[in-house]
Amino acid sequence: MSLQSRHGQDYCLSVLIWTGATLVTIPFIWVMGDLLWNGWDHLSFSFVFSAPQNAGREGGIGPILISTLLIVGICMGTAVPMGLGTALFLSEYTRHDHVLGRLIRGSLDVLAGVPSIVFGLFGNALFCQILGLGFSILSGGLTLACMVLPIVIRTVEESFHAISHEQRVSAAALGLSKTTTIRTILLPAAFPGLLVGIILGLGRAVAETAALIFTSGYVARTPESLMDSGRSLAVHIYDLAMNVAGGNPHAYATALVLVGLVFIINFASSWIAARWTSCNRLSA
Amino acid sequence: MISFSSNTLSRSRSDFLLSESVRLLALTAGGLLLLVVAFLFHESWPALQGIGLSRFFSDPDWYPTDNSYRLTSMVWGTLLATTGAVLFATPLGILSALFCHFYAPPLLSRWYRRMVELLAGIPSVVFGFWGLMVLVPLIGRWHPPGPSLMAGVLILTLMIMPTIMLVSHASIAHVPIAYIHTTSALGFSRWSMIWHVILPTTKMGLFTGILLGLARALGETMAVLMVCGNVVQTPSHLFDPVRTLTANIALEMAYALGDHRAALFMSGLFLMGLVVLVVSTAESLRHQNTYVSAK
Amino acid sequence: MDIMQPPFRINPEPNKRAGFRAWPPYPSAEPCCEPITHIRAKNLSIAYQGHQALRDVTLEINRGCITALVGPSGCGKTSFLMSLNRLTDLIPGCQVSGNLNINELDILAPTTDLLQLRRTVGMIFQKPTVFPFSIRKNLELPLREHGTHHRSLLNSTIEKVLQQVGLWHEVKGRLDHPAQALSGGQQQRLCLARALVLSPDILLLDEPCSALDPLSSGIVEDLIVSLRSHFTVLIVTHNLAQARRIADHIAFFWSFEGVGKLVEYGPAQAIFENPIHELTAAYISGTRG
Repeated sequence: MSLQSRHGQDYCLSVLIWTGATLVTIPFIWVMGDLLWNGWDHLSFSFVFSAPQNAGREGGIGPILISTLLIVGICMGTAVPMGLGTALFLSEYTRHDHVLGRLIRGSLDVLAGVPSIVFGLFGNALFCQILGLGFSILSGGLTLACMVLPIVIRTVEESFHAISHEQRVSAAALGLSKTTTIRTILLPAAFPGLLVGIILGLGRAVAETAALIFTSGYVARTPESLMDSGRSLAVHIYDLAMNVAGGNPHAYATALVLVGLVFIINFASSWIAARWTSCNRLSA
Repeated sequence: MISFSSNTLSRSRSDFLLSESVRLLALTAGGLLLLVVAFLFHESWPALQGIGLSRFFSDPDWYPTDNSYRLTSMVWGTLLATTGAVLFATPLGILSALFCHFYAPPLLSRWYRRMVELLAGIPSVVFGFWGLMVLVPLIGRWHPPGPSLMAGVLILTLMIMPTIMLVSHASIAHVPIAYIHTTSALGFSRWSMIWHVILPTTKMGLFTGILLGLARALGETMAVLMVCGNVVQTPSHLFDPVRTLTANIALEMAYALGDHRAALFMSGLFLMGLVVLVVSTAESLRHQNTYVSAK
Repeated sequence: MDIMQPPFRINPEPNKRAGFRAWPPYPSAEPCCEPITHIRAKNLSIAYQGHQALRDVTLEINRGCITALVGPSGCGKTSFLMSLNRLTDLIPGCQVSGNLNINELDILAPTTDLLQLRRTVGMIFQKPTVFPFSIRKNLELPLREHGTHHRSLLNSTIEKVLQQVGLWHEVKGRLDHPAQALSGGQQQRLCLARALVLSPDILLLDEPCSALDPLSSGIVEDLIVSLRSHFTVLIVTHNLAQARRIADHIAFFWSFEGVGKLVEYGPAQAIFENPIHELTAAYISGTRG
């Protein structure tokens, strides 16, 4: 092949790749710009903390924030202990090639890919109907817990694996019991990973809509107990956009709040992850 | 000596308690998948028994109130929207990953990757809302009515592109730096290096990314629900409104009873089967890939 | 307690353990090996996933001696060392058979309390592995685990062991600083101090100097010499000159088609000057291995 045609090829590929990158950037800026342009004016202190009126066309999102917080709280309160325990079992109590460990890992991998609407169906059948919790914050939170569990487990397990094997052997050589080794050496070392896992799960839980529509319901009042139905931010956006004529301005403002939350969560997790790896590099 | 041995006893008891409780938690977590499948089966049993599998494809139309349960057009909706999105998102995702590694200056590359990560984190309902407010009117002006298969394809493209890009990016990062140095030293152009070395060695990783993107598109609900128009019909061209399986569940679950409800669970089960197939293929490819690169 | 099972006691005179013995130790030139067998291995074999790594090792190690295990890589020296505190349990698929005793205690018996065993058998690894805590916490952790919580006792013990390993003057002002900030040689000495904190009877050293620079290596070596007669020391080393400098006894291992065997065992002087086996002679003179 002649040198010239090779340079021509190279040039064409460069153009193609830069075009591709631009094509990805434009919608991102468009989405963010659109949200800011249409939502910023409606965003205020009173919007965030007051109750919605007239089906959400007026007023704010106060009770919805509370419901969101409760749902996500229940979700993480269930998923984190379970995730931590499972990750401990997988990394400290089974060998990597053990059949049981492989089965559990495989089933969690598949669970991570299950569509959220399917979790919604499952949650509706199990929590709302069979366990009799009805459309409630509890049902919604537990459904989300099933959904984020694989993410939490995978992140925490990876952070256990990142701890060098020598630390475990040294601890054993000093006659430390397994419980002590886990409590004093492994858990502190894996803590940043646990934090990242929690935050990733949080991001997924806050963003979720489909799994919540028929588990935690639509009611926009401030919930009085965990057995009350409660509407999350994402469900609120959906409802305003699809079912309420004239709800768009407030849907924009709510979307801005939600995206802001998700971005903060995202930045926090990558900040922790980056600090963590730099610390590890220092100590190695 | 006595206090010492009792201390040992309590330690072994706490060891025992800890190991048993984490085993219990792990078994619960591992059994969750079975539980989900079992419940979907249990709830869709009336449909499988009362209606029968074949009627989901042979009934005249989807009129659950009139005891007519044809799912074909919804299956088409899901398949077409997903295929379209994968066709658009695959080149964009892979080009973006190559851009990050070989074309963008370091600072831009970092920012670009950061942007794609944020894009991956934007809630689907926000994408759906943006599509409803911006994309649908735009398409409507060009090719009425607006809410259409096309809008669904575009929104899904936007949503699965980050998945494909991030997985490809990670697998390109695993290419040994020596390969790149060697090909550069042999006087390869950037194009030849990418075409003859990078893409072949990362083939499996790229494919995994595409499959994971595919799984995400298959299961996506809110965004397609908001932009696709949700008319039950098999689309004849790109600008027809369609309804996907997921949107169908989300729309009708609120009031579905009896056989109707069971039929919705049946479609959920079908969807899950599809996704499980795709995800487990992707995972097995991923493991195969690490094996090859470890060698 | 089961009558058939003797009570767990490695140290025949526990009361003597209350305080540390006189320090600094005897000059190393003096004869120090009490001719009392401390560790006894009989037909010890170790296999990994069915593949033999060490076969039929029989030897008796005297109390208070420094015994060096030498031989080429992969001849089972480290496996032997790790079987002595049952760290082999941590290796998947590892099987140890034969007899292994410390005094009267049967190490390989399933009823043996591992935590107590490891308390009496300290171990140092090739790569210094300090935990990612402060210097103080590194030393306190094993003490607290084994039941010492009294502040002043903790402090005095920490000072004592740091003096023993010659670190006290280097770190006394920064006990609460992270241990990982210490140099490699200091970290290795801290690891030794961490093992000494439990006042073990036996110390297992797995190439303790090979990851260190020559200067730190010299310091650690001097330290090991100073342990003679206070502890029964087993050291794996690839450095024959080092073995010659510090060891009282030498155990020479060789790998026969992948299976490690003990070739020769005896006083250091005899092995170096008058080896019986021709493999030993070849290894020592540097023509093989």
